[in-house]
Amino acid sequence: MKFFIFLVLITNLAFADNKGLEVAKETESRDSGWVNFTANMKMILTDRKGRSAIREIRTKNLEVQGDGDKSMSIFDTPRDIKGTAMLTFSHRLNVDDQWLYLPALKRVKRISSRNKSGPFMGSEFAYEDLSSQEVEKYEHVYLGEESLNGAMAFKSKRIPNYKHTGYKKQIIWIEKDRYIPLKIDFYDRKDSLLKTLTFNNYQQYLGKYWRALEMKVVNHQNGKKTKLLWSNYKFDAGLKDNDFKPNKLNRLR
Amino acid sequence: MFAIASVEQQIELQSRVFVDSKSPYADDATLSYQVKNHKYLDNDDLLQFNLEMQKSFKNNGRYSANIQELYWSRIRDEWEVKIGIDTVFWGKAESVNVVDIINQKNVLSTDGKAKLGSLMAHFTKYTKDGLIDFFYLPKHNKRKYSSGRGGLNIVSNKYDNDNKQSFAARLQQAVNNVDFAVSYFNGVSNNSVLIPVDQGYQAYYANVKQLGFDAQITTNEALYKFEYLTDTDNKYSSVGGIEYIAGDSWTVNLLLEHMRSNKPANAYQNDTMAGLRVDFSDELGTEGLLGVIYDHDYGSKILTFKGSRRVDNNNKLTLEANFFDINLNDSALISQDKNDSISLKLTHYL
Repeated sequence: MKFFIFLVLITNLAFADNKGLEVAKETESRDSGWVNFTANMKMILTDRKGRSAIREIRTKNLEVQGDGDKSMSIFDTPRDIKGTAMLTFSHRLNVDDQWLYLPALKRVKRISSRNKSGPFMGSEFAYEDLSSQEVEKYEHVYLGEESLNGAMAFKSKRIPNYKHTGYKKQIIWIEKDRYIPLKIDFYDRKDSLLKTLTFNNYQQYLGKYWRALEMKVVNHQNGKKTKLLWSNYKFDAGLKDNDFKPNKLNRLR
Repeated sequence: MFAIASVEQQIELQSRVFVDSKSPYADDATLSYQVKNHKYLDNDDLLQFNLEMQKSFKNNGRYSANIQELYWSRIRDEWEVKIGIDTVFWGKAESVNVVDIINQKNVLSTDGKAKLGSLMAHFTKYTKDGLIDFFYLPKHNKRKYSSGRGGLNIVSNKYDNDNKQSFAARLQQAVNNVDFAVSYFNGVSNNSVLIPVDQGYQAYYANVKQLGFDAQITTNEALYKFEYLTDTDNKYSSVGGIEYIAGDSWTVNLLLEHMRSNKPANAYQNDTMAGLRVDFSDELGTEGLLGVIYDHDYGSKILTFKGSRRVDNNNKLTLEANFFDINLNDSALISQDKNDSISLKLTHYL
């Protein structure tokens, strides 16, 4: 009898662990094949006193089969960094390759991407939150099903596998119907709740790919918030590998 | 015809104070205006324009205008042609860029790194992981020295011959985490040698052939940088060092670079720069760079600080400070000894 219970426990655990990975893989596979897209993002940063600041960024993205994606960000505001561009080749487990174009100096700088956990442009998003989210970047532990805002969701724990992360773990809720993320709780290196990211206003593109037009982060430790509004999604934007070359960063428009 | 497609304008108000009462320079305040615009034509050709104007409230109301860019460019997937006035950056290091020789430096700028635009024809061929550049520069830009109190009186200019054209080429390549470039320059040097003459100086611009090499190795924790420039007289300048990335969430970079040169009147013939760059990654983009340059031969020391912070989306404050402690025998730098200065700049983006 004892042995039987033990066996059930083992199979349950094994099943549970596989289920976390399965959900992550299904989420990734349903979102693969998009090839390339461009989109604009507007970030609204709000501090505890309610003062806000805005950043506007144009992005170009290229899907890379078998590795992390390539992305280009061109900054339009704040004005002192207008024209600055960042090119990132993200990788599944290796550190990302990153280049910065500084228009005032006309200088392309290859930079280290070590400070992944640092804030992206002073916002509550860290660089690692906005980089491409491959399954291999985390260890996935399934926690069960839960209802979230009236939708059934798979709840999993993700433990980052990559170096220099700012997180001990993340708890993610994936909507059961469409396999899209609804919410992520981030726990800092001391394992206390740091911030919550919610995905709202999903739109479907090319009849297949779901994109949240609003992403909101609330930092529970410092009271600051960042709202990220996406617009102008264009899939099949005609981007090629050639459009993501560090030696061409000086000719962006 | 074409309409102006994108116009960017900024106004800067800068106040510079010389701390040492023995400084030959007078405290100054300047107002600058910069206008940039670019326009893509129907066939994807680009017209680019960038003009800087500066008016001093002291120094007899000195006024200067500098066309940074005024060029036409044809841009294709694998190549590019630019004809007109432009500035070009070459190099990898942080303290000095010894290979960066195409443009005349604007020695009147507070950080000494600004450039004057040069007339050129520039062809670029893009390769798989690099590019090849060719330059033709039909005329030479003289260095602009400040005149008046504390300034240098340049009474004449001297060239080797009437032909003031220059040619240059540069090959740039990336191999995994190594980026390197080899460059060649044949023409009139932008560095002037000052020869004392009656009532002032003669600025001499020599004809030179120069070969440059620069490289950077990028790893997760550090960037390794190196630049080397040599000419046909076996004169060289080099700089090499490391930028160590210390912080995970803030950017805290430690810089250590060594400069060497056997050129006459070169300020950095055997000097080490130690620096600290901090980027607070906050909403206001607060960042700062603190550097100390130490001369091993003369014991001269230079302390520099540059920090900036946004006021709001359209305004930014920059604080710069330079302090000198120069040995009397350090002839290349002795003129700076009393020039300790602090300057504050407000940039307003229109």
